[in-house]
Amino acid sequence: MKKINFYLLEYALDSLTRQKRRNIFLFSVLSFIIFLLSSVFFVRNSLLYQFDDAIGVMPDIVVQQLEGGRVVSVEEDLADELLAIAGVQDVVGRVWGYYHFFQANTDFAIVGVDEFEQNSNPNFVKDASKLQDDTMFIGNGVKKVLQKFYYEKEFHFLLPDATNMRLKIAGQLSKDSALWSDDVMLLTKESAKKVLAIDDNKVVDFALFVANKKEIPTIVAKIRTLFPTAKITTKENLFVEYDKLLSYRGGFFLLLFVVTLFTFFMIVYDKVSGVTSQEKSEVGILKAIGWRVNDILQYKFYEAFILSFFAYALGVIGAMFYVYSFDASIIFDIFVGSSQIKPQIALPFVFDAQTFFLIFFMSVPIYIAATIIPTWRVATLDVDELLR
Amino acid sequence: MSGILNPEIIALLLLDVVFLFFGFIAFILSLKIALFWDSNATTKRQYTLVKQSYLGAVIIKYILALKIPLILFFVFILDELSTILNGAMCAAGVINATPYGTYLLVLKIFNIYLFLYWLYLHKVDEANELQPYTRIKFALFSVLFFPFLAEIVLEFALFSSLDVNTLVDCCGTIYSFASQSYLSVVMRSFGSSYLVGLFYFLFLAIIMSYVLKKENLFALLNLVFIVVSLATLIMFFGTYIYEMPTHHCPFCFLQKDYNYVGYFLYTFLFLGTFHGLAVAFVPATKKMQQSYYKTSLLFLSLYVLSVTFYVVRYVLVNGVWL
Repeated sequence: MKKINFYLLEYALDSLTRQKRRNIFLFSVLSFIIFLLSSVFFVRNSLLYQFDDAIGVMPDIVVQQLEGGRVVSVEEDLADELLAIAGVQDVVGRVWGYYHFFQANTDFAIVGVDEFEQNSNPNFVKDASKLQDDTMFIGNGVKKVLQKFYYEKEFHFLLPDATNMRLKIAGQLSKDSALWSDDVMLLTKESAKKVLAIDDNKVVDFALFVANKKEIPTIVAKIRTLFPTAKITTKENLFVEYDKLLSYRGGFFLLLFVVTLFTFFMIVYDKVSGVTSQEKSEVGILKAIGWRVNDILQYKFYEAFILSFFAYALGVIGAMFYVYSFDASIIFDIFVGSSQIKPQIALPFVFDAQTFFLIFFMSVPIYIAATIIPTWRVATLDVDELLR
Repeated sequence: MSGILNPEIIALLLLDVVFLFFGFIAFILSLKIALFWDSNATTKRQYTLVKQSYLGAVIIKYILALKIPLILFFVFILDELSTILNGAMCAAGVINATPYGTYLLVLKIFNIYLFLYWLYLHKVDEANELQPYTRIKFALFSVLFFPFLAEIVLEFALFSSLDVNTLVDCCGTIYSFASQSYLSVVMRSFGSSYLVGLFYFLFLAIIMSYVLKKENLFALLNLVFIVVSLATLIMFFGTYIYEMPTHHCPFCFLQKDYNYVGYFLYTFLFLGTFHGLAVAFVPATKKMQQSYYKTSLLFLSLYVLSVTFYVVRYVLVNGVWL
């Protein structure tokens, strides 16, 4: 393999600075494009990482009963049948749902917990022990909404039978799991059932914990024979679905982004084609003093590579700052939606080499491709034409 | 949703479109050059063709320069996709999820051999002031364009027919000796010890043919070596990398659990055999041929040493053979 020709490299660098205005323009546009692209992928990676982290404590299997495609509450006693399946360590009947707060046109997630049951979220466990029947804990997002309506110390639920229920706000949920607990109101099971209008002997669904993870498929098969109409979701299903959802959103963004890339391709093609007379005579002189066509093509390639690679580096580094220091304020909404309650979370830093390659392949080769034909046109012009 | 709207796949397909566009330009130019090139002529057409030959060469070099990292990226993506396909545990499952996967992978590797061969021919051609091979190399590309086109079509077919909801086989089923696939039938009909013997014998024979300077024999042995080393890798050496007698899979060792060793093994094997074939097929000067010989032997030795290392380590640590 031929080694890099450093003289040519130096010449390419000098030549880049000679065409300052055009190159600065191309450089900044390319950097910005790469910046946008990288931000989206960094957010995706962070969310996936956080989900992977959170999923560890989630229940291994969730069993729900559907009627007409909607989840309906089931008898609490069914838990005993599930617990009788060999390998199931613990079954928790969960009480959860949504409360529509119509003043702010938003929904709060109501989660009911008992003090001594195995819980999916470790942060809830800590708070659950302090819960009483007339108190609740609320997430950060909920707190902000309630403050707007002057619910500082307590909150009045409007129950489905048009009566009121008053609960004291005992405190705020820990911020570490903001992505999961931001819109949560944590109540005792008793009061949660009242708010959600669930009968006393019923629960929404069952969360199963399995000691040996390899037994999960077998246990799922057994549940299916016991309850043929039940909807069974395993932890793995959940992760795959989440991964697919984030990939889909990222992919959707990218698909739209292809249009931008194409436009950029045209701009570069156009800019590089519009050779100035200064540039022309430069190539003419080089050819007159004995440079071959290949040498000129090579130095032009160096030029394109240097420009696009530095733009790539700048874009990626800029995106890192934007995502990890400023929490990607706008792009974040692509992934988490834009409801009233927006989780304020610090995205964890994830280094994923694959993403860097992905962004590289979508920027640098495209730029270089756009320069191939215009460069070749100039390089193969005859000397007399160039110097004229 | 039958296909997967995955960012990595979109990136691959986008580059395919770029390749298609430029590949087509290069194809037209190559065809013209292959038909009308005449280095003695002083016609206007010949002058134009000389200019166009530069563009053709640049485009082909551009495609090749991207194809090599992209094939690694491709395999990497297949590995990643295995997490969202039911049943797949490594790239093998994804490749077998559609009828196109196996052909695509084989075609990709085949194309890399041919593109790189083109590049070597191009270098020899450029080094000679008479450019004696220009016509041949562009004729070669006119032919090469078709497998290249097939590859792009297959890649689109693969990714658009990939269905995340179907159940696919994991490598344990695909490469098991009990299954009825043609691969396993071939493997059962030979004993693994014969093949391993053949593997080392071939390596020695390659060294011998270097000493004797038999270039055609050298290339032929290299060709056989590709097949035999892949077979032994699946049947014998792979099991020592996994330290498990039942795990025959040529993809799992590309994963992190085995320190991505597969990427190194395949790169060694590719570089070794490619240069081995180049010895006979590239019309190079004696000096360049020497360097092909040496590069070939270097990477083949690296390959043989690496796979042998796993066996030796296993036997030393555990005191038994698998």
